[in-house]
Amino acid sequence: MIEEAKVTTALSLLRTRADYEYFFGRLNSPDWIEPLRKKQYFRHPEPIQRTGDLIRVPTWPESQYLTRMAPRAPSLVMDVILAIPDTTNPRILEDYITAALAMPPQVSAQLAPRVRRWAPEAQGLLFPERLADLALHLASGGEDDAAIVVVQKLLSFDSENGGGAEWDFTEALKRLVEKCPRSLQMTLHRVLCDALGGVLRREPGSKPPVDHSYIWRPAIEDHQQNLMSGRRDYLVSAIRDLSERLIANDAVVLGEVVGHLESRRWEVFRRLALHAIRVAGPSGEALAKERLLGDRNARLHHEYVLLLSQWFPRMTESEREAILSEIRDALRIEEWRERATQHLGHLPTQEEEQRRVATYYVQRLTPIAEFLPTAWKTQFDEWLAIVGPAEHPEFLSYHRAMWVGPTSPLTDEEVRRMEVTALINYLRTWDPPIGHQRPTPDGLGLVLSADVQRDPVRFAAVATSFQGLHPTYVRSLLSGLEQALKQGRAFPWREVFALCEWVLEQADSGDTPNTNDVDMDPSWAWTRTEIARLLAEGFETTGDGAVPFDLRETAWRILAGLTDDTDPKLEDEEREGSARDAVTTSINSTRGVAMNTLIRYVIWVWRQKKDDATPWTFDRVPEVREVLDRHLDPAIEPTMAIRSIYGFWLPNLVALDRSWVESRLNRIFPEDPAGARLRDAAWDAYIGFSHPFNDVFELLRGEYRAAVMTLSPTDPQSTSLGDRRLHLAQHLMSFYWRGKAPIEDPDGLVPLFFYRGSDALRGEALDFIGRSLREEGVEVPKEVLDRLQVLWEWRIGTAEAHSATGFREELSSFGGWYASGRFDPAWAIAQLLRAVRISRKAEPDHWVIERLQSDCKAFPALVVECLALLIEGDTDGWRVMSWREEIRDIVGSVLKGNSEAAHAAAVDVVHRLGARGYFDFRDLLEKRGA
Amino acid sequence: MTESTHSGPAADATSWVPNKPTGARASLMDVLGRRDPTGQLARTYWAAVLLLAGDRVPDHLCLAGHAMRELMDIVPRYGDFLMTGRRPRRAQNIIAQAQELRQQWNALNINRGDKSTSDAGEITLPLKFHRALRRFFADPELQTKNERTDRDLMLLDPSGQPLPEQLQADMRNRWRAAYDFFSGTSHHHRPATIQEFEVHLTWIEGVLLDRLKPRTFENQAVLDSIIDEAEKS
Repeated sequence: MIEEAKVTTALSLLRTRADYEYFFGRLNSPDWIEPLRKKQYFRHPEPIQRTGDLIRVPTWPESQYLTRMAPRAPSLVMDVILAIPDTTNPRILEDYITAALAMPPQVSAQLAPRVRRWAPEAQGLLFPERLADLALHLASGGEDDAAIVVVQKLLSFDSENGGGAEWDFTEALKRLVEKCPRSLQMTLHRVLCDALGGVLRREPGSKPPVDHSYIWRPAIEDHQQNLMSGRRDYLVSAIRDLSERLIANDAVVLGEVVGHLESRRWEVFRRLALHAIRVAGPSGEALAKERLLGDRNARLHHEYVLLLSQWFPRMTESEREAILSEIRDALRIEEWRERATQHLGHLPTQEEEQRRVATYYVQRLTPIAEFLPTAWKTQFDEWLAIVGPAEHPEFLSYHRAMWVGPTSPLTDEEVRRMEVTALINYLRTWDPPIGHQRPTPDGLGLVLSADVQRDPVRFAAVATSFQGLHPTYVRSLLSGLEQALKQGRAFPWREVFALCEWVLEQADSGDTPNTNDVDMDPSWAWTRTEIARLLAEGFETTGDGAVPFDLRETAWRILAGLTDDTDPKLEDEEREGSARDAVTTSINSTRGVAMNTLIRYVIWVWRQKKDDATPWTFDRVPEVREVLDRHLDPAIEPTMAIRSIYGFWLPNLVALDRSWVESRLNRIFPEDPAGARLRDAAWDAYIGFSHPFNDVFELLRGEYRAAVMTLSPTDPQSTSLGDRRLHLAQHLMSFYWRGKAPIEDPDGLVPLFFYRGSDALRGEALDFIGRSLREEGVEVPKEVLDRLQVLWEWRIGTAEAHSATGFREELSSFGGWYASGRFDPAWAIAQLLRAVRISRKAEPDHWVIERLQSDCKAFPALVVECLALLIEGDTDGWRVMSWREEIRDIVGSVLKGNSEAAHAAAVDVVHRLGARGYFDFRDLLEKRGA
Repeated sequence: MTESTHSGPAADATSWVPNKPTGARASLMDVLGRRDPTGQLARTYWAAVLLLAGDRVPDHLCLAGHAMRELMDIVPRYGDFLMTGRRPRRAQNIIAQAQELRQQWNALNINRGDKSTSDAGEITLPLKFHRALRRFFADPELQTKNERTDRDLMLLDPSGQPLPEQLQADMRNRWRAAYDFFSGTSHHHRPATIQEFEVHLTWIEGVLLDRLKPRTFENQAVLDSIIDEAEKS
């Protein structure tokens, strides 16, 4: 026994959580138990802690101490455990199990009544395997009743209500079955059957004896057909395995086990019984014959068939005849005929009836075909000739995975070898078969497209021959040509354009193929979109494949027609709401693709004329200006998809004709509230997809200002990379970097952004600069660094002046600036310290911590102070875990150094880490004698 | 107690000149200054110390008590686990919230005389109302004094975890005794002496240093020797 005075002294030193945890972790004698008990310890198990939606399941140093003492003072420890009030903390319950496992079974058995009461809140943390171990431990000492109580508790944990993971549960069952001593096996068998019965009772739709086990458990033995998708499956396997262990070489026990299984109400138990009889081998002969000659239940089919396969060869002639008679009687063809008539609407034909009979017998007789009497064998062969062999006759149904997708009636090779005219003729005449998993026009189109892509010239030259074909094939041809261009293969355009014009006529006349088949194009719409895509590729490519300039007029005629297509429609946008953004619609609709192609058309023309002396404006392409102007009229073009195209291409439009953009700005970005959705569509596309260009910025200052005015300090943190606020922040920071938007600018865009932006958004802005600074191989001029320093000092000064609230995320982004190593090191570390004094964190933390490591020798005191603040800020402890090595390196290095202030601060850091529970840092102080 | 174990500076009010903090008080000033870069925390503490010794200042104990109570109110915000944010305030006052809750209850239209409810008097509440109840009662302002003290002490502990009840009970009682003493003194609700004030002040200083500037491994070394000696014998 430890002297009370010593206990009192020790306890008086426990002033923080770390002291308490260390003390109980350090005790190495059971002599402390009684005096601590007198001091009211072992009375207050740690409860589960909840903060909002978070749950924390703490360990309890006191139960961990008891666990360690259990082998040395088992009775005392059990006495203490039994006096502890009930808890739902699974970590503590697990400690009790660990302690009980270290005690003699007779002592451990005292825990059983407590186990019965356990209702852990977070069951997932209570490892079922540990309960299995405890049950086996108790059974090993003859404490069968206690063992069964523990098994029943294990089986009672409901996986669907947060119980043990299925894998753990299965492993626990396996362990129980494998290691259960003989004396307890029959009782365990009964308990497992009770548990399975309980699970089946709770299954919706189950009513004894029907449990549908032939669906969820097609085979009692391990088989790939079994889905193994739930607790009932694992229980079936456990009962099966335990039955096999019980009956091994023991015919008496076999009868007992089978009788026990068959006394249960559910069919799965009868299947388990049939399985047990089969695996029992010769000792199961009487039981097997009795079951095989009794009533046959289709839902026991699998086990019955396996048993029949085993015993039919060993049956007498009369027994075989009885079996075959039963099979013949069970056919009941009249009943089938009646059902078939209802299903078909007419009496089945003689042929259909013959197939039914043949299928029935082949299925049932295949497993025993080899041993059929001669007359039956002859008949069996005839049935076999009608329907072919039965696959998997031991299963009522058999599932397998298969590929489903568009397939072609012709292979790639066959298409390649065919003359184009023959191929076109085939496309014109081929009649797709009806039904699933059959070749489709879509599949054939894919093969055609691949061949066009490979050799576009042979198709382009005769493109007009495709006129009159189904749109699926015309689209496949055009798609193949587009892909060929992408791969640098040229082809003659004239015939292709003629085909395109023909397609547009088809659409214009409203002569659309009418089909409900999902495996072919429903109309010409997809073909028209494909034409726009092909044109875009033809305008964009600069090699031999480019559209010849002498075809400009034809090309324009086709494109102009497409810019008036009816797709997309305003009502489609309204229906889809925010589910699809405008830019996505613009690149997936016919008119949208055409309007995008329009810009590529201008660039294509510009490329041809750029060397002319005349300055380039839209006067050179008046046809384009007309279309662009027309689609800026909301009465004609009300869709956001098309308006987004103006924003998407704005930098190009400014480059092509600045004055046109300038004069249309108020139409692209309408100010009236009625046009807000169109304005947003244009702005979102611009800010989301355009790089920040200085000349565009000058033109759009007003728009940038308007966008900044929509920000609010209370905006939720962005979770999407496509968030326009993030892009706005990045644009503004780029312009600031380049000196285009200084803080003292009259319009004050950057100050306004920092005034209106949320802490998180301001953090994103500074983080963007940090990432740019860290970009390798990019030179950052001194004037830029000076400018950035001005920005930072303004921001940190503002934060300090505002008592530091609402700046945490923003200031933490300075981590990237510091880690970049671009600034004067003394300035950078001093600023980092200012930042982390407020933010207590610096991002990206792993870069910062590495930089601190390298700055450690030059600025030991500042580095340690930064480190201390970062550790304080890591309240969940995950970061400290990942910085362990760097912390050891920094602190170790400072403790070796000469800076007294840094040394003292480093000692503080180590003690603080200890107070957080990181006791492994203690050696840093011991090594240095600090 | 030695300085290293942070029981607080053992000195009476007349043995030191409080113009400049020394010893443990200097450590505490330093750590409070670091925790709150605005200096408010350190100033409040130092004001209490100066006022305690400044017997020429009229009502100096009352003013010192006021400063200490203020310090105890705000210092938990500067533990590792609450950072620099202010205590969240209710969006509306408690009476308005209670009235809103009452309206929700009335809207449920539960007939309390209904015999169909269980014998135990149990009634089924809609989840929405249940959540509103939980939110209302989870508010820090509705916590008991003990709960608030426990929360404050937990926030100050570098681990962010509570002490076991045996230790927590003593800590809670002493913290509340000190708080009540400072509060009572500041309102002239009780006669107070400098010596009494010193006892409470010293204890609070020790608690704060233990948490804000812990000496974990020094303490562990002391514990090691006690445990080793006890287990040997």
